[in-house]
Amino acid sequence: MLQIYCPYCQELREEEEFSPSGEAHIARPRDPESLSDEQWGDYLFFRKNPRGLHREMWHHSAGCRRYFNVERDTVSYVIARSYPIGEDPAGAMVEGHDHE
Amino acid sequence: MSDSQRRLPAGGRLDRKQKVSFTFDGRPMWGLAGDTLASALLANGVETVARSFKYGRRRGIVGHGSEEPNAIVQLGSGAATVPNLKATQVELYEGLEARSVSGWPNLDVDVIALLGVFARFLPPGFYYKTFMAPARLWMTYEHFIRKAAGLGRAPQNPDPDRYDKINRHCDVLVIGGGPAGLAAAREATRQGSRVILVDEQSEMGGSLLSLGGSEADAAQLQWRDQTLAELEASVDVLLLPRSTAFGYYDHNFVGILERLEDHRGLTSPGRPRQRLHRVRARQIIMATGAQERPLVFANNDLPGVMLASSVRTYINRYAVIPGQRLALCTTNDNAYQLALDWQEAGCDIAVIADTRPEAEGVLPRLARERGIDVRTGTAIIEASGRKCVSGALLAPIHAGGKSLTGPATPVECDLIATSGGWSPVVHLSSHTGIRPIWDDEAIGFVPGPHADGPVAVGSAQGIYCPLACVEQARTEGAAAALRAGQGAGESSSPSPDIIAALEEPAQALFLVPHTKTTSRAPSQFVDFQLDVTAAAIELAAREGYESVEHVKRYTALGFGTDQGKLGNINGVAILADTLNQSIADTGTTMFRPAYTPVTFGAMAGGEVGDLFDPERYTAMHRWHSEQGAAWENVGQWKRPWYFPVAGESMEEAVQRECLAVRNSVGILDASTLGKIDIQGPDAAEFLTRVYTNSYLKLAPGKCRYGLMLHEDGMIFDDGVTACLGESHYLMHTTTGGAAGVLGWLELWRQTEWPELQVYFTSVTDHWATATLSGPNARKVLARVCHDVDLSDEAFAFMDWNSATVAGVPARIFRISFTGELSFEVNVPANFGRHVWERLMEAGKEFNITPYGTEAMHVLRAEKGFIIVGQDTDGSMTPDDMGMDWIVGKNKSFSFLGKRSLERSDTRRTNRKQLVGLRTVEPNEVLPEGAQIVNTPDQAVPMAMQGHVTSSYFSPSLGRSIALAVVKGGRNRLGEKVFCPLADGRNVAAVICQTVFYDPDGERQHV
Amino acid sequence: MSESAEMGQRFAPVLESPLHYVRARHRNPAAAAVTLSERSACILLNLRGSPENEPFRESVRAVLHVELPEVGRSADSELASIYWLGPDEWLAVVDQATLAEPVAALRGAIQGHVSIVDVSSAQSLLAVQGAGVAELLQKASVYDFHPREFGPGRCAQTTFAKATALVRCVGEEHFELIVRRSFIDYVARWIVDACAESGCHISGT
Ligand SMILES: [Zn+2]
Repeated sequence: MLQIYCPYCQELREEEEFSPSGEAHIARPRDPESLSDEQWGDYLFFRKNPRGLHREMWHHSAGCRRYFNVERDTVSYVIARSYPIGEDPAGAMVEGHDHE
Repeated sequence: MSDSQRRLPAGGRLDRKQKVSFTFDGRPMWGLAGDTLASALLANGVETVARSFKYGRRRGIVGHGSEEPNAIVQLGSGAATVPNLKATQVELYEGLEARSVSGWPNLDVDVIALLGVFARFLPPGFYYKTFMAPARLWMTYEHFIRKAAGLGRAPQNPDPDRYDKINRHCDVLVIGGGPAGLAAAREATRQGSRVILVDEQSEMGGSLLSLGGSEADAAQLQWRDQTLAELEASVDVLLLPRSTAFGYYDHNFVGILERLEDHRGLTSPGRPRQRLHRVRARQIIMATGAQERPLVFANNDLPGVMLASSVRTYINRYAVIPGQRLALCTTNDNAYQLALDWQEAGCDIAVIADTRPEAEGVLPRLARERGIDVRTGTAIIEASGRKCVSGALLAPIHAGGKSLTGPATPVECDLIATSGGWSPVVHLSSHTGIRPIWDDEAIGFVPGPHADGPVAVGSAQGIYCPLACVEQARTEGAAAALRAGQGAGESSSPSPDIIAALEEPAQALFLVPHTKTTSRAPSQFVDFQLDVTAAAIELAAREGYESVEHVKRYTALGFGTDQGKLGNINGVAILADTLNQSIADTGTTMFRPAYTPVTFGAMAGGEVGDLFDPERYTAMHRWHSEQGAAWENVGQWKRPWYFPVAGESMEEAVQRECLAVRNSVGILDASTLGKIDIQGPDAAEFLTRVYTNSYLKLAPGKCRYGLMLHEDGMIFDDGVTACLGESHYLMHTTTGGAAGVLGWLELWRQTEWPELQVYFTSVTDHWATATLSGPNARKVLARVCHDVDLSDEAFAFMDWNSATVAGVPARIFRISFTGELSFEVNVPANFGRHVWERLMEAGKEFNITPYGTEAMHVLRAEKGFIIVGQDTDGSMTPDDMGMDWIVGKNKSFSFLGKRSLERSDTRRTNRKQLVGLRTVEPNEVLPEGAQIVNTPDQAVPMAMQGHVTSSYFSPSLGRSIALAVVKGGRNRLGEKVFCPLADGRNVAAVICQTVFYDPDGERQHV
Repeated sequence: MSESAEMGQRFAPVLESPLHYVRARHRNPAAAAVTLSERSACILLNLRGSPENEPFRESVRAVLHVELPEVGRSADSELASIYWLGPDEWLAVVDQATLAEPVAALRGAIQGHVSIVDVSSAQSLLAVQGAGVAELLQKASVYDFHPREFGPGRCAQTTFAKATALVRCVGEEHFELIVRRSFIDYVARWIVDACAESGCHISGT
């Protein structure tokens, strides 16, 4: 049972209030029509499953209804940080997905 | 005191005035208030409490708490029966009925022991070897094992009791109310922390409750009373006795089971029996104590062989003397306390066998001074006796503990107490996967390091001296408070006035050698509950198992309901020795929740019966209920399924409702459809991106139907969107999809298109919707709505208007899901019932008929309208549904899911496509979900062509109709296919168009 | 009497608050550690807009006489109470007697990209009071309502039983609970069950 900091409500809340929304920083291609089936398939279906730090998106569904990103260790479950959509903190995170 | 009781004349934490009657295996007995079932059984001279799992050997009470492996009982009978309880943890109450759960036909005559059958059947690795054998054999074995193995019986009836669940938050959670826990809790409280202190026992105090009557012991008990009084007087402290912290989860979340009523009886009418506390703690202090280890020697499972600390507890806390003549075998000074207390109680001591070469500590000297026969370098190597202990074999033991140095000599005794030292209770702290680490000094595993996790104090951290325990706990209590944001980290509570005898180092001894080799000596038990012997572990090692986790599974060591609390460390040590490696390198197995069993009732709490899941009601719910509606669950909503009138079957009611809509007018409660208010200058652009069609040209007053796709191109929702005004829209979603669609819209607004100026607000609950449908719908509405021209010319199909209906401001949408003339009347839900009743009155003349979801489904299926989630299943594209007409291929923005419609897989021509099916026999209604094949004349598994998604009897057509998805179906119109049914029949049907009724759609345009 | 007047009389709208049917069932138990009272006859508005949109803030101030509250807080005036729901979302509760047409008034005053939605029938407003309130909230919600963390004026949207609620602290042993209309019957039954030992009284205005 995780405890997650919502950057909008600005406090730690219980996991029950949130819904997981998959890997963070998956940007929608600007021009889907120009992509090959394989490239489009990468965007649609392929996700990382790292052991260690991972960036994932959560939805504060029972709270402020905001989406935000979380950097979480998939082994220890320690959450290194929560940050709003649009921010892409550099630094400790080595596994980070490139933004576009 | 009755002579029949093995009870001391004074002492103990008992109420001697209160006799408590109970039965064990039908035999009437009595104990005292304050007894556990175990102490009362010992007081009544009960020696055998169980028969062992594999060998049917007699077993007696070994311990006094959650570690007890043998005394497993079932209480009560019928609905309120509780299996799988440890007698050491059951507080005695008047009328308690306990039964042993093993032994067949009874404990005294056990067939399995007589025949010795399991010994042959169940060598180590039995489970593995059996699974390698033909799987069918396992079923045979399992039946026999479960019958004989004493796992207790589950209750057959619903649980009559109430349970409760509560969420807790605190700064510092202290687990364990012994000296260390009390000290830590008091310190944190003084720093201003919100504290929860939890302990398994009926009173706080832990090991202090087992102390004797000496001056030093009295001082410790006084400290306990003062500390507890201070905690009880503090506002922000929650004390939870009779409560077990059974699981430690991520981010300092702890599950605690509080037994509120178990000590009073089997049922507790009106009051919750147990309460589950879900605790989120900023800081956790594990003061879980240490478990005394039994010594492993030959026949160590005979009734009358007990833990030294348990015997001490029985005499001091319960005033029970479990024997007449004690022989004590120890590896440490601590167990001498028992000998001194035993002697104080006026009983006879045969010998203290100390395995260490010398024992010159304070306590051993005291024992010698008091004339006790202390023999160092000596061990009890075997217990003797038939039904219970009648003697012991002593032998000199080598300083290394691996061999004997002389012949064995017998000694007479009827109780053997052993102490192999202490194992910190690390179970909880390893629940999240942190492995305990071996501490040579403590001779035990201590909790592994946690980031921001719990801190262990006292004997849980391998600190066994009471004074040092309390000192360390005070320091950690203050430190935890500081980390939680209170105080300055300096401890402020007074240093306790505890006189603790300094103890000399203990010896690490896990298997007492015998004159014979381990494999030839009488059985030396490591895990009592699952009959795992030292020889079995050595055999496992010889058979090539080296990992402790593999050995655990191979021998079943630690798999019992006691989680091997007594046997694990001895087992690991024996394995390490066999493999010639250190215990640290061997490691320990992991522990998982729950530490002790948790009832399902407590996990469910009050959320049972009609509170199991939310029921959502519309504003007209009570009206439907008063009319005797049958209900359908749609998501969490309760919707009227049909409205039977006197004596009608469901089929009859649905047919009547359908015909009323087709021939006159029906009324449907459509309030449950999701409704989202959308405002902003970019609203139309946004809608055009999330729907397959365009909304850029939708004018105020107009409605449009749309399909929503996920990025994979598959349909996930549909509904009508109305343009309410400039940059203002109302979107309708499916009933079940409302929350998901709102989340989906917000997802794209917040993450991908933050530049679009648009806001979404759920208004599902604000509006009540009454749908009038049928040729007379307009006439009914006209009677209660006078400020709008309802004519087809002024108020066309797919228009909407503001109006006043029955005096209430309303939005009326002229949209139709039945194919008939329809008006959906939306009013604020607070007026929902009022408007509904006025519409019913207005429709009386036309015999207005309320209809439910089943009639709605039939009517829409007659028209070939799909229901997302019924005719689609998350793998259907618009083209699969024959709805290519709604896909705006030329929209400038690549709407969600569009690119996927061009993937090679979605362009396949043999995809399953929506078609109609007419059964050859018109009265045959196919079951929904029926599979479709080309011909039944083929071998199983047949080549599937698709399946039936919707199927009804159509009263308007007088025959059955069905919708189905069939591979390449649209090119197969007129072909005959078959549905092989579960009853063996093959029903023939012909593929047809999806629209069965009014194919030109004239009726909704009148 | 003209026909339309007759119609008007016949159609005197009957208002049923969300808790209408539950109230009748749980009046006056012997003892009640918790009292639930529903407030009806108020207008609920969902307000969306950027907190940086100064004209938006200003017009709310002008029409409702109250400042848009900051994260996790609520604010009151003699006309309205406003609750923070999210970084660009608030709920305004207006007493119908003091301000009959708040939507029109706000619409008239506000410029720029904002959204104002009438959700008066969408929610049930409950005052929850009594010695048993703290325990009730702990049973119902995973949120920490301890007075040290959640004093008067604080509000939070969180889980409540298996539904959700907006909870506000009014004072000692006094909270407000705002629950979606369709869930209110379930929530009320859940509360009555959770208060089985201490008693629960339900009333309304
Ligand atoms: Zn939030």
